[in-house]
Amino acid sequence: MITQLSVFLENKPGRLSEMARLLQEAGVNIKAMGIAEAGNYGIVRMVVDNVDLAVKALQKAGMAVSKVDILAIDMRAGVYQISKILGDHEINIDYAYTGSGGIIFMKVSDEGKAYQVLKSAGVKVYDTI
Amino acid sequence: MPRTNNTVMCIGFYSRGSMEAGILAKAKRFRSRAELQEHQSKLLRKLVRYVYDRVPFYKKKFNEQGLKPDNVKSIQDLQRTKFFTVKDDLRRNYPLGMLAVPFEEVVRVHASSGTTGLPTVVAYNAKDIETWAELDARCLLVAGASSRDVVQVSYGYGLFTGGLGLHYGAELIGAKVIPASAGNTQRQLTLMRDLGTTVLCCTPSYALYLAEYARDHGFDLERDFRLRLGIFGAEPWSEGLRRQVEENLKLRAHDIYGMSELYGPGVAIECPERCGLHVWEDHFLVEVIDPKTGEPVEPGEEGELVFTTLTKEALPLIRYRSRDVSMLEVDPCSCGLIHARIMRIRGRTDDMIKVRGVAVFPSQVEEVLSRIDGLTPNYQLVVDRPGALDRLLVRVELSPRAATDVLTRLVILQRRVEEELREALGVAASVELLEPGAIPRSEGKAKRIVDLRSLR
Repeated sequence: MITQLSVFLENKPGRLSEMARLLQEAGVNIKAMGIAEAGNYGIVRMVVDNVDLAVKALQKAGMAVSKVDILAIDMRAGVYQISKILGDHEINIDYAYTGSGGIIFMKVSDEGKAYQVLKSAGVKVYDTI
Repeated sequence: MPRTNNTVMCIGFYSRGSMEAGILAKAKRFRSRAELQEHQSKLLRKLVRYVYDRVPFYKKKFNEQGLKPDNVKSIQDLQRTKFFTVKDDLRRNYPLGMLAVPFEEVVRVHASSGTTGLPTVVAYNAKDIETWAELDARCLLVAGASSRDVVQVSYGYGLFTGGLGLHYGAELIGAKVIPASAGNTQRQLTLMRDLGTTVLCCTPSYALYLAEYARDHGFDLERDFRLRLGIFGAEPWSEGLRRQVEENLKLRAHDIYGMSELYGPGVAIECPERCGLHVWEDHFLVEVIDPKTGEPVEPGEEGELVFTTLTKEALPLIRYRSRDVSMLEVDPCSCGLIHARIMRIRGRTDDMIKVRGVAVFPSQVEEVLSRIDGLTPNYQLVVDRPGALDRLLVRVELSPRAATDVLTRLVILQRRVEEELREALGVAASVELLEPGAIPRSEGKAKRIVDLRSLR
């Protein structure tokens, strides 16, 4: 499993670039990213190459950032195959987004169980990115 | 101005300990409210004669009301008329038309920010400065400060009365005073740490900002600081904000009340019981009126506080409308002081906004926000009128602790705030969640209301 960062941002021009600027200045790369919005605010979810450095840089700027474990799955197994395995095991997919290199990132209702059932079905699940 | 009090203190004769005892003894010299009220009436009778003879504004007012100074025996005689002094009277007599002493006798002026043009100027003679210092000394002592304390005064020094008022009071009790004034937060905290500040005086919103800044800039409030007491005032604040400030700054917070027209800070203070602020009734006669009708409210009812200054010499005021909304408690306090208590200031009549006809105070909003986990007490009320109806928007910063990957959680939080606000205010408000730090911080009084209706 890998760590995802979730950052609370106001839904207005310039906020994402402010966050990205802070990461760039800290020497952190964004490997994958998705945005969910609700009215005047939203959450940026992302996978970065240096979690600790990223958290430090964002918190220093006063941003609200949290960490959560997600799955990084090799998409070559096929979205149908992956989602069927999870569905057959009563595991819900809360949200998902894709990153470079054919990886799909998923937040599921039971990460540990999902990790096991995918592995035993021969689907590649990454431990690091 | 009449001086019925013969026990004027000679500072040189007192050691620090007995100085403290002397100041407190003066606050506690009345055995009953009847005795205190008798003292007030005596001062009031002299005051009425004093202003009639010396202030043309008041002479005219008495004559217009058909009142002879000698016929005013007690405050009830004034309550029968609509005799008030309002801030506009001071403005109309700008700068010092209401002075009761020759200008030569004035030793100090202060001025309050004029949002509508001219500032309001207030003046003091030497005796006023002495009285004012004693009132603030009383406040500090009653709140629990002593000569052993290091008092950092982080109210603005200058035309604003906050800084110099507490400064003189703290000096009078023999404390070590750091006249930090407002602003330069990094230096404030450095001095606070290195000089071992034990008592902090500033606005509650600035206290919160100091805590926030300390946390973000590597200060360890638990280990490196010796703060134990906060004297916070100059803006209305809620119990929720008090809890946050106490938790974050590791001190005990006391509310202090005053305004430049009544010397400045030092009119009233919370004793250790902290159920209301004791008004120094040997210096101020306080009433609560219905702001609409001008009639006194029933005991225990909420209304506008009205003050008559009993000992001010340079610029005495009769039935001055404070525009602060609160209520008065005269039952004895377990701390032993018999001075009446003003319960927490709910807001100012001019802080009050009417939204679709409903009166809304920022302090009500603050109380709701501060009891909900996941928010900071940094907020703003925005009112506009896009069509025919007023619209209230409450903008509040999310606490960094509330960061989450689940959007639903934020939506639920937002709806909960909206529901609780509707319940508390009696009018619907929409809520915007903001990033931490989005609302500009103030070093003095926080700006809580943006009324866009007035721009139309």
